[in-house]
Amino acid sequence: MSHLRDSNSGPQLYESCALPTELRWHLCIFELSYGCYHRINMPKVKAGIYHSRTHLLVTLLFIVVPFLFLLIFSRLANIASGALLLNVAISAARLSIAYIIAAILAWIFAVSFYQGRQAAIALPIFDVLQSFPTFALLPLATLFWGPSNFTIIFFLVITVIWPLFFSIVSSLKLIRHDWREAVKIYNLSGFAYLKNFLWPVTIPGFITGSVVGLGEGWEALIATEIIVGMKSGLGSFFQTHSTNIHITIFGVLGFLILIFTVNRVIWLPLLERSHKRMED
Amino acid sequence: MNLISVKNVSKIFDDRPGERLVALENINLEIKQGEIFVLLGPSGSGKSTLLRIMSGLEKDFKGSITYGPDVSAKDFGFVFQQFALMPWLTVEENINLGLVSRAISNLEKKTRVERELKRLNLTKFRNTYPKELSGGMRQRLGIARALAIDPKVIFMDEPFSELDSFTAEELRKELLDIWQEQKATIIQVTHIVAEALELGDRIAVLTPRPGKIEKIVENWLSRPRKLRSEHFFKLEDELYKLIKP
Repeated sequence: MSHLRDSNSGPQLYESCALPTELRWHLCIFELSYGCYHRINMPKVKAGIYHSRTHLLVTLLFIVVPFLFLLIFSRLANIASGALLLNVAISAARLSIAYIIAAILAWIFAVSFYQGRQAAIALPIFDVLQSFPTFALLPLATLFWGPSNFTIIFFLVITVIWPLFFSIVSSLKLIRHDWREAVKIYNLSGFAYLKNFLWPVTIPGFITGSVVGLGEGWEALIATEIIVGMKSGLGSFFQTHSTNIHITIFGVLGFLILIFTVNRVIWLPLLERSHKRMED
Repeated sequence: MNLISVKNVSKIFDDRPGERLVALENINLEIKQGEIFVLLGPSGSGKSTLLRIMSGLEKDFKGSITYGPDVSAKDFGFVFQQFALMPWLTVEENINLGLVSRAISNLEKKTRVERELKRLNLTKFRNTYPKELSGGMRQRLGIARALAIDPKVIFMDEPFSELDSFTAEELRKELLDIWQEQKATIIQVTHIVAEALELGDRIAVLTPRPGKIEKIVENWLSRPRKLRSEHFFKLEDELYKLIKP
């Protein structure tokens, strides 16, 4: 993994690799997301997620600010604060459930199909499937399941699963041959194999896939809630207030702050930590 | 007493259409208990492939490998050229890696890890990650991991080739001390003649394309070996004559 730190490495690094387009793309995101973050936080960095107490306090501030923003915005827009926060919470809950399902499935699929004959058959199929415009199925799904949480979560799962899947596969593809041999010679199996080898190896891809997948997930969530005509959630909120440009702009700003906060507080520190752990 | 018998072993790489590489052809040799057996040869002579076949890492070959009655795959330690350390595990956890799937008590595992930390002078680095170690310390860790399982056979694939000459020399001396204390059988691959002579009791000289054993040379130099003695140079000359690049 050390080449990820090399200033000469980049997306072109993977051009010579016989990998599906999607996989190459995720390898690039994997590298770029790490590279950008690393440039911002160039000095120091120890094993923990947070570098210092100041870093932790600033990060906590990122959690407080969006909530203050939402409360103040609700008051200014004469919307009951509880209603807005409830809508945010409902949308976040839908996305969280979908994310957990997608993450479990993506991880299982990735470790099952990343190498050998299975990979030769499955990866091109997955590559085609991930390109399929899922929104084309939305009217049919709504017809069957109506404007329900099930419909929303189903669509979020098939949106979030692909970035996660391909990022985890890209991590698995970078397993060194001698690591495999060490695992074999020392008979690592069962839970010990999972805990000491397979899970740590997939963490960087898992985190990168989560960042990308959740970004796409938020977008799909709002759109699906609006299209399906849900009576709750952020999509419903935007639908209700779409005629009021000020409220909509403030709503979008609040939404962006929320996504930024989750990335800054959770994913980027985890991403950095996982990459540092993988450095050889 | 023979620990490992290699009979008529051949290995052909023909995974890619139109490409057929005979890596090993009709290899026969016997490994004796407690000896240091060295596979010496230039690049492409199949020495690493032969080591992997003997250790059970490579299963796809012709011929047969027979182990002695008291030996099985779980008695094998392996020291890799590029260390093969898990970067997400600390020094202590890397040593423990060989023990986690073994049916021994946690106390026993801990005792063995402590023993190897002490033996390889890694105690103060126990919570360090491999990337923070020098090349020499990393290979120490690789050796510690192999020794922790109490191996009857240690396979070593060019273990000193990634190190500078001073560190390699120091580590070879430490390895010999450990070998004399432990009395495990060591099978080592190298392309350095002096290293083969310093360590090996017997040296199999392999020639490339296809990989064949040219000769198995008995190293009659007594230990500790004087690397600048007349006898050492004489044997070195003999080995150089056998190696065909």
